[in-house]
Amino acid sequence: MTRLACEHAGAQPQNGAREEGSKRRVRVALAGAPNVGKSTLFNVLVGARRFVGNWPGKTIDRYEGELEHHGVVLRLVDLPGTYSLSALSEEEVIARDFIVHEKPDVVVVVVNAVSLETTMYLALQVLELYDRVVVAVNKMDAAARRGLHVLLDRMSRALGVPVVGVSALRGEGLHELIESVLAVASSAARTQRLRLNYGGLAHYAALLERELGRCAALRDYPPDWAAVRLLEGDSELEKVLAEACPELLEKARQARRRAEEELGAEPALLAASTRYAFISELLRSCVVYSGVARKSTSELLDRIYLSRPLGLPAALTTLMSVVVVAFAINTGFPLVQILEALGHSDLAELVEAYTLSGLVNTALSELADITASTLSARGVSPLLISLVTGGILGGVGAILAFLPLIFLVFIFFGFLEDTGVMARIAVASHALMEKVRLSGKALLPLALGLGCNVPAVMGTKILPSDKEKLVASFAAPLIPCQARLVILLALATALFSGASAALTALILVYLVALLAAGILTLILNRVIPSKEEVPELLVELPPYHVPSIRVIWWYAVDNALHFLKKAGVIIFLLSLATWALLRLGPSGYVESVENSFAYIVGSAVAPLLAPIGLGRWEIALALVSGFIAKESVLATLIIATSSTSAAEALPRLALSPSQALTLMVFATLYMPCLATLATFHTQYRRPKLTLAFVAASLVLAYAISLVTYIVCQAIPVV
Amino acid sequence: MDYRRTTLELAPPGSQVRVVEIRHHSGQTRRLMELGVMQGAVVRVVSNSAGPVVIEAGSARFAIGRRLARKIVVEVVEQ
Repeated sequence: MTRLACEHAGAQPQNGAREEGSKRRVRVALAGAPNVGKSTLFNVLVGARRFVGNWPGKTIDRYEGELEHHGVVLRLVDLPGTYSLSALSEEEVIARDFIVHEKPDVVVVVVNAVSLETTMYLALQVLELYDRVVVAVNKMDAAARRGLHVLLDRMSRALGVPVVGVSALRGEGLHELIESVLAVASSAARTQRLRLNYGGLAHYAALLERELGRCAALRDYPPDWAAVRLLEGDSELEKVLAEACPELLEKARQARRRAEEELGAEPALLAASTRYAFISELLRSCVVYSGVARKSTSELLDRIYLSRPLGLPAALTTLMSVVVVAFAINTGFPLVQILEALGHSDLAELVEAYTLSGLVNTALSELADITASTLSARGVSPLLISLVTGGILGGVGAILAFLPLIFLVFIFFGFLEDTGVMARIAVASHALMEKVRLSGKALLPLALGLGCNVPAVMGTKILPSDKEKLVASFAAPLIPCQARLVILLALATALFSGASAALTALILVYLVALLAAGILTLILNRVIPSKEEVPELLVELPPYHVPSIRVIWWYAVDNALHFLKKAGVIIFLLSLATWALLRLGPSGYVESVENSFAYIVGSAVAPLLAPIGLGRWEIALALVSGFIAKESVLATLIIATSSTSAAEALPRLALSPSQALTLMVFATLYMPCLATLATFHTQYRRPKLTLAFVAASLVLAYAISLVTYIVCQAIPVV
Repeated sequence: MDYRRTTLELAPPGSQVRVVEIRHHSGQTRRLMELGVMQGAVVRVVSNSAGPVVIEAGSARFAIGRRLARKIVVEVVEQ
């Protein structure tokens, strides 16, 4: 079988004018197990020339990129990281289907020199499936430091494909890797599919293989490979057979039963043992140890994170310190509050001005001022000025206001992941999260939610099952994010006399919000039907290592850009719509909110809020505008009460303590902000689901606020 | 040879155990096999207290939930 390796146009060197259109193009797929440094290698290879998309119909990101090497364009597709190609998970289906159906010119399988035993398994599966393969042994430098030497030439002979040692982080071996890829693509290097000796199983596989030749639907798969897979009980192949050749499906199942009876063991186990035996034999002959790795730090950290009494507190402390540091950089909390409490209010103001959000806000408001004065000097109508400064700049500002925090949260998230601490946190918190029927991994995105709900929703992608992803995405926005912390702080200090009452109220609201998230998770776990079995924890704990700034940087930049591209337009349009609501009325452009559509909406909504003690148009209006970003709740309350500060505005509302607490609860729980909503929508792309998401949070917020209000009124102290 | 046979859930921390059998079949047990935890494999129990059981197979560490660990029959090779 010959395949067109590349669209070779054979451009003559002197024919420079046509070169651009006639460049050789080579399609390369990058496969590898998780934690082998595949994404790092991908990023090092393509640099800025990469594009993020989605795999068709999936919630998993598809990374593609290009690089040029001596006039040849290599188009790289980064396949999802998987331990095998058994098609047990969505990621595995994607990786396998891509290799089988798209038939890339070359598949590069990345393995980790430090943990070859486990990462080789995927390489073996790719080699059994496909002939045009290059194996990249990554982290050669780290392996060398641990006294491990991989004999690449010997391994290459044993596997029948080029094997190249690289260090993606240090950029070592990349040139050789690309040369090998091109050699395989142009057939200069001969490669062949790996055929393992499956012993007793081989007989049954050969019998089945003959039968499979009759099924045209299987022609993309190598027949001997498909036969072994079917004996193992491959559900994807069985699906193909059930649709195209049902009579063969029965044959395959019979063959499996016969093999199991006659060999006295399950074919899946026999096949996996054969592969592992091959791998250990391979490693015995190709890996040389010269010295012992130092494990003392790892052992110590694991003794803490994995111990019974210390594990969970250590995990929570790690997460909370990360969140607090992110808070401090972004808004100065709790540093500003501490300085104020100590009486250094000048210093507090200074710190606040130089925080990330302080700088962004200052820049944006200065830009708005300059634009407004320039435009009004030229006699532009107030409507247009307001549209530009409030609508357009406001919309851009809404996106920019989120960006630093999202970036920051991902930096810390990347840090935890890259050091290997994240996997430990997932394990340590598993028992706790099981109480709300989530796995330990779910704690991370939810904890990120304390910083910002956008990365929290984005972070649910790491969860193992579709159901868990969905449940966690629904619950994440109930976690009070930093924007809400700002409002809660302002409301608590303005509405409650005395610092201890304010602090109690603040803590109460946080507890209520966490409780609400827990309740919603439990409800959803019952309501959503489960396709899969109850998730049982099985997590790899990668060796701890010193984090790489570059890897973390890429991780954060990628995610921030992803947010910008996907959610940016939706956020911009929605904030434009909210501007229109606040600045336009039945009589056209309005200066005062009392003549706006928003006032009409606020007055209409106010009676609905009466049962929870908040039936005032100012509050309703503030809550409506708080949809853009929760900070706007405060800003609108100030405008609506014609005040200049929150401390002035809130007493004018003359709220009782129970009303105040209810307002804090409702403002925290109601409606995810529009950035979170946009992120949720781009993640699932199902309008009904997005509506259900909004409805669930509104109903829950209303119900819990109602309970809070009734309980508060019943308790005389509050 | 008189090996102590138990399940991974009850294997003492620090011990070396050999996997005798993985009961119950599902995607998760399949995954275990792919990670090298299969019949005949010798693994070290790194920690085993209230939470998941942490084992070391080769140079890789895995945390295995207790329900899954209960289905893995092992014999203690070395305390």
